[in-house]
Amino acid sequence: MSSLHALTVDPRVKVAAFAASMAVVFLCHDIYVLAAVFATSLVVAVLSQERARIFKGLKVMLPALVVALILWSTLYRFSLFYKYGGTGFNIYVGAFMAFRFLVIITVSLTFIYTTTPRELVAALSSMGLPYRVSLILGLSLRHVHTTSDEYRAIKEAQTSRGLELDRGLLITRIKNYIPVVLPLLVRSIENAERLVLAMELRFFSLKGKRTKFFRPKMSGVDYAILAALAAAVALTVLHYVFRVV
Amino acid sequence: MEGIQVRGLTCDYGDGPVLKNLFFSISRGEAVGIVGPSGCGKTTLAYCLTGIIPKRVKCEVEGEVLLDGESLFEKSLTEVTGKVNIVMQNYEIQIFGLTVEEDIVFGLENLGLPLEEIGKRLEWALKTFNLEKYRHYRISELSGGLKQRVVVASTVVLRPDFVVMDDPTSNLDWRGVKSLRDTVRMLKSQNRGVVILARRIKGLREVLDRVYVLEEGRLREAEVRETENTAVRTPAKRRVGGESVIEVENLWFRYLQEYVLRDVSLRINSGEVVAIMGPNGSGKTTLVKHFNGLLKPTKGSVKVLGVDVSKTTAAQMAKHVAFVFQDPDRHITCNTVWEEAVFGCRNLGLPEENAKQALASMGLLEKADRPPYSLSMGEKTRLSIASALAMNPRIFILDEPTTGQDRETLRVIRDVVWKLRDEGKTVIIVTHDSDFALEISDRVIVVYNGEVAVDSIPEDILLNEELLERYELEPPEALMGEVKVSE
Repeated sequence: MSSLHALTVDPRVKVAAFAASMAVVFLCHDIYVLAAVFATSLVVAVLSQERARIFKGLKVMLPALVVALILWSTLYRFSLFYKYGGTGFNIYVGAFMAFRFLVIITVSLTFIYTTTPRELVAALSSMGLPYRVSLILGLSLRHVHTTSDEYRAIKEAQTSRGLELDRGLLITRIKNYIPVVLPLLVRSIENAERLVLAMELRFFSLKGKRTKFFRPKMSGVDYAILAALAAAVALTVLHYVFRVV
Repeated sequence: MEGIQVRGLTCDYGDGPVLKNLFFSISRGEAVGIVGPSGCGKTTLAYCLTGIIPKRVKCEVEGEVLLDGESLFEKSLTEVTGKVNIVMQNYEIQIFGLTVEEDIVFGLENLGLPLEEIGKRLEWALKTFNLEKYRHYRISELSGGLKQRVVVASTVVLRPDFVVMDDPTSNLDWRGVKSLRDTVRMLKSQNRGVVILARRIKGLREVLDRVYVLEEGRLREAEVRETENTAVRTPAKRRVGGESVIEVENLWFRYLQEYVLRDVSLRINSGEVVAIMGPNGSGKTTLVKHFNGLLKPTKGSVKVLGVDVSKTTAAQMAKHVAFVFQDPDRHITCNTVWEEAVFGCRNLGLPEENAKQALASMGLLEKADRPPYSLSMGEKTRLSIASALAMNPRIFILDEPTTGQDRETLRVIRDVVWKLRDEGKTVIIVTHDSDFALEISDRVIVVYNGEVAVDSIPEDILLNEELLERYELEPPEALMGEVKVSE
């Protein structure tokens, strides 16, 4: 549970905040705007109880950022966004794109870790997603957890019996994973079968009417956040797209 | 006629009857225990009582199960489920919510109950099952015992008249068993019937009205002897180990923020059988996973046979250290018993003859071509042990090999462990089973809240009531008064 949940920000607002941040990040050309989004996202991350996971995720992505910096600095001329002349090396473009990448990762991680799957499903279904689709989405999200547990168990079992996973050429490495992935697939199918039975035992059926117990409710704070988000997106669009403000 | 009556029930999956002509009955407000070794047909019986057989699992059935005088087999699954519900053996699959409250509510939502009613029942369940504190917890953050309590709560909240529990004690520590006992007592007081199918009923005896033994598909009422505190059996001769093979110095470990192991230092020697004990979540498994390099210390060092585990991989360590995991269902991965047994040998380039011998010593050779899922729980554990034995390790780690095992499997495990010790090897066993630890180990290490709390010979710890109480360990039969189902 994060303190964001404790603050009970409406999940729809979280989805909106994520979408708005992404829009701003992709539309703007200023490092200051990026920095503002980055700072906001960091504040949210630090306030949430999931900060350890978020920062762990960021750490994992660090090498990718370095690669982004190098590639954008040297190869930017070949990119879709190329519109300046130049010598072929531009550390500013590289730094900007790498920073943008960092902001995207931070925003996404913060969103993912502070929104529970239930909230996501609730948000999407109250935005008009049909029940069948939201149910499948919810079940898949739940399945991610079980599958990752299964994956870990199988990997432990195999490496403890001398299976080297991360050794040798790429092809060898991929081959090494076969004894992990195959049982995982079999396991997932078995689990799916048991899941159907278990759902029946909880009276699940697609036909009957179903009560929705957890319904998101918008509070004053939620509306305030929404308004702020709308203003930010509007400003960005006016400034960078229509060049008005 | 009220309650459930089982009359001449026989079940056959196609290769001989699993249940043979069973008779028994149970009324509301009663709790019945059905005890039997793994593979004796407990799950099949549980499925028959809940209509899963023959509705969802194909099986040839003779005889009948009556629910309040009407045949249960002729009702739809939903009808039966409304009256008789089940907590399955692999109960984790029954959890749908990502948090405790979501899970409790799931079935109620499906019933289409009004909002206020759902709210009321949710609060009732949280309170009754002592889950208020955990209502917003993610299921993945809960211990096995708590997860099971959530499943029971989510089942009972649907208000079935009967609750069938298939092997509910196998993953529970002593604290969990005591809490299950309270749950059964509470269900009885609400005039619900409870059927518990388990491999042992230690700690539950006092809430069970009747106990039956299910063996080779036949059921008979058990005569339960409750003797006074028996004299301690003359303990086996304890051995003192040779040179040290595992050296742990100031080990700290954390997965995320909080430390799970805190400043653990210990030495384990060759030719020694060490039992690692402590309640669920105290850090036992985390500790032993350092011994074969699956986990690396956050701080401090772990040296195994002189090798620093931080600088090597589990695959490298496999030459010397074998690990038998808790929960064989999750860790058995190959398509046949033979493939599973020989997996480690092949990776390490050892002769396949090893695997053959290992299977033979575990009594599984004639099942070599069978798929592992066709084995009983006890056989699966034996298969995992065989697969580890085949690698001829110097250090042998068994994580909860005893949970819910029948006597035969326990005996086989004991013989293997002692044989390894005689060969000068080190055996480390994580277990809740005080009787087993008392019988086979030379030394007990109690891990409590991530620290080594006591480290001594088994009698000093397991026969000391104060220590048992303080570290929430299961009292051995010698202290409890024996609960034995007569053979």
